[in-house]
Amino acid sequence: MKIDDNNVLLSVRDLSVEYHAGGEIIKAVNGVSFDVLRGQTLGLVGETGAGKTTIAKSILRVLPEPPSKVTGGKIYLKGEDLFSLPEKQMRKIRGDVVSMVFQDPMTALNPVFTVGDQITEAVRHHSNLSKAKAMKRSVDMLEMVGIPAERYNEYPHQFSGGMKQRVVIAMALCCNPELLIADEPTTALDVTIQAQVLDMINNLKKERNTSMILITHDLGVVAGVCDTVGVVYAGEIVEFGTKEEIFDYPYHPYTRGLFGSIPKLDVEVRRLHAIPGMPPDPSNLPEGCCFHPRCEHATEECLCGKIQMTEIRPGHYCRCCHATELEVKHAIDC
Amino acid sequence: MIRYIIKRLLLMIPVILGVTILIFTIMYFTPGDPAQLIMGPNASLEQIEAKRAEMGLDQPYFTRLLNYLNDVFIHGDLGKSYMNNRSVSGDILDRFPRTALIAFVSVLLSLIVGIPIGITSAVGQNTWRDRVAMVVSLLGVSMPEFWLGLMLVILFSLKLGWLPPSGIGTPAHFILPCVACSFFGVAGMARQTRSSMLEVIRADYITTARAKGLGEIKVIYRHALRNALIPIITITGAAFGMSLGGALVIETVFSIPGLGLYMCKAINMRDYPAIQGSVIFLAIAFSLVMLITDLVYALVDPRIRSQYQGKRKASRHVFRKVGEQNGSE
Amino acid sequence: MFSGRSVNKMDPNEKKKESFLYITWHRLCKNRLAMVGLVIIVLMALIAIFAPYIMPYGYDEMDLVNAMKGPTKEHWFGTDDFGRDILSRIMYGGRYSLRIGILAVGFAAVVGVAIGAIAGYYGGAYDMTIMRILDVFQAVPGIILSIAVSATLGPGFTNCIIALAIGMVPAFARMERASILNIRRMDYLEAAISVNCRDFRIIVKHVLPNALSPIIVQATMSVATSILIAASLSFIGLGVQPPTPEWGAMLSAGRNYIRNYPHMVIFPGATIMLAVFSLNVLGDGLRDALDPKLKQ
Repeated sequence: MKIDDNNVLLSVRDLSVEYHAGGEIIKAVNGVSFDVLRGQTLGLVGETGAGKTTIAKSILRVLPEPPSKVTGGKIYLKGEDLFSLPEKQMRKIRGDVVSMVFQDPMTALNPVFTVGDQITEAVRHHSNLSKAKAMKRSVDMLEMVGIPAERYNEYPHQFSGGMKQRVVIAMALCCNPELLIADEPTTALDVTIQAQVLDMINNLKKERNTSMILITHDLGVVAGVCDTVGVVYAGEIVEFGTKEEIFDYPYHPYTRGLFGSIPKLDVEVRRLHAIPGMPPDPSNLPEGCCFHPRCEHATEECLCGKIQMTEIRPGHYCRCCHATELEVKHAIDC
Repeated sequence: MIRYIIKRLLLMIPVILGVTILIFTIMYFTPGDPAQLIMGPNASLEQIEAKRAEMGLDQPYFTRLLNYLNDVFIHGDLGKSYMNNRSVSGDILDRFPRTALIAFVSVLLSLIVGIPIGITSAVGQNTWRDRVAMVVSLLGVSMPEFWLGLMLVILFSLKLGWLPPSGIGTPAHFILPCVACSFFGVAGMARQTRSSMLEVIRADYITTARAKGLGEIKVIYRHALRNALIPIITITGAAFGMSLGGALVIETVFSIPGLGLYMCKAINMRDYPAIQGSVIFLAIAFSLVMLITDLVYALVDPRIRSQYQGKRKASRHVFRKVGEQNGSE
Repeated sequence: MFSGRSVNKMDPNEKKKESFLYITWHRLCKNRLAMVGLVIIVLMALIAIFAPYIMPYGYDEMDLVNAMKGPTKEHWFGTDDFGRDILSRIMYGGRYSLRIGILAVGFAAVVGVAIGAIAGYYGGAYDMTIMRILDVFQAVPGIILSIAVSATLGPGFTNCIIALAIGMVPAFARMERASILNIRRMDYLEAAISVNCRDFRIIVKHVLPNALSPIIVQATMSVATSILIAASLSFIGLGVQPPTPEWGAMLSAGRNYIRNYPHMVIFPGATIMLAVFSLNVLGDGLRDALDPKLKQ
């Protein structure tokens, strides 16, 4: 992966995270690496349970410590190793330089505090603004996400899901972070609200040149918002590249499976095409390539040790030992 | 808010009525003839009959019930004790303050001591401090209070001679009874607080608070605690009920002339007006405490509060304030 | 192109089909403290059942010469004021104390669950009336209600059970009603109906495990509470009275002697504490094992 020092905001290298639960070790993330440039949006795509949320929470270091454990790797924010920072420094970064929007808006807000107070709290924590000025800022943020100022003193239960999510976004952006991590921000919302919220995120992002990591399982969302895409499977990134590259030239059998699963409006099919089999059990991952049990091109080679990322096309990487052969095949197919 | 208070008060009335009817009915079915008991074994049949008529015992159930309800609610008269022919209400009011004292101290201690123990346990889950606190709490809710009372008497009164074993008169007389009665409450509250906190700490909004960069102390004591305390409020009401019951029994251990000892004597002497009156009185006291806890709960939980309040005028106040800032800048 | 044999796909049936009971038992076993509680209470029950065969002396065997002696080699827990062996009385007394708890809870659970199920299932006027009646019963704190009923019925084994059961019925009723209301709202019930699952199957496989779990936990904790309240009742002159060796009655009989012979009070009380502790610990373990949301 290219590292252009000034432009790289976040750099994740070989991140590995395990969960210890009921005597079992669950390998949630296994050697993930990627970069996020300034002003760029990276989309992390994958099925539920692939480890995307764990990656996100690791960046902010808000993983629940007893069950989870970071077993390897480093995360560099503007060149600084986040894992070596003392907690005090980390708190300055959370909410201020890097913030996160969580998946479920219904439970993301504290029910006993007003919506406005929760935003003001974040503002005052990261700045020296007086209470009045901080409240004004919160009101501004609320209006920016389309919530009228009078609702400052209302409680979360008085808002709908979509509006709650907007409050969460306002809270995440109130201190002008350089990186916003959005974990499936629209999954719990209706399609129409989804579009609104995504538009809003996109506009805010463009105005402030915020970098973003957008976690989703929806390829349509990726197409609309992201610049680069990382396909996550069983805790690994199996394919990485720009949006155009991934959408036009998917190489990894899993990625091709994902795209193949999208129903096409102009072709008549009797059954939806699904990838056969099930995602692997993270406490019992298969040997070698973690996708091989479901892959129609799998061979003996795929069982031998960890498969490395290979650069198939400029800036486009794929974790498959048959990638180059498949490349030729795909080229013929297209 | 006022609407809620009034609504709850109104709801209390049929419940108290119901309790009175219930207790009256339960006691109605006791075997034995009070008139005979009072007149003694040597009384003649006519004398007993006359006494029964005088006491109104020959009336049918409903008449007696209505008379009783009339007495209790219109005249505040709980009847006359068979034991000493004194007004039951008078006796109860004399003695209840002592029982109430023990029960209140018990609840107070469970809040002041039990809740912090629960919080430290939850925050340091599975540390040795947590484990020890929880085992001790488990023991605390497993021992009979009167047994603890006896053990304390053995140790502190008989062996060490530091505190008096029975009676009243000085504040020192109340120390052992209160400790014995409150141990259960403190232990129970510690356990409940711990489990409430653990549940809250797992919630998404706590992760949000951390992701905002707030310090752990703020996260626990501002965000988590306020949510965890809400169910504790309801539990406090029930805890008072249990403490009342415990205090009754503790009085027999320490010979404290409160409502408990009164009821025990009444039970032994088959003094039904006294028993009836005491139970009804205790039910009313308990209901009042539950009412107060419900009100506090409604005040503290914004989800309930907003149902009973109009749109807060304060929101317009903020808007205006913000507008002023705008103008001044 | 490339040649390759297909590699074995992963067998989807690899994981053993695990039933609800198996999973619950497995989770319970991992909780060491709960296991300790289970072992202790089972031991105590066995001792109580086989007491006549294993107790060192008869429970009412008097030996006035050796009355009021502290713990010795012959009498591990000492003797009481009539020279009876306290250990034997405690072992035999388990038959009373434990049975009172189990029977009272059994009765209260059956009646309470039935009432709660009616209220939850039929709703409407039934629900309203039942709830208001329960409100009245619960306006009197549990112990005090039991005292009132006991005062009417008088002391005695059966009367004690009835008094305790009446005090516990409202809690079971409310819990069951809440369970039923909750389940009715649940989507999985609609899902089962929509795939044409037969009614009986629905009840057994879907409704029952979820409705019973809180009841089981509540029942275990209630047995613990019953033992405590029964002891209190005996202590104040209701419930079971001396010379029956119910643990609370033994405390009541021994209280006059605490100045010089505290052992008469220490051992029965410790036994009560041990039994209640084991039940509480087991109840906690059951609650954790049955909680579907709790990931260890």
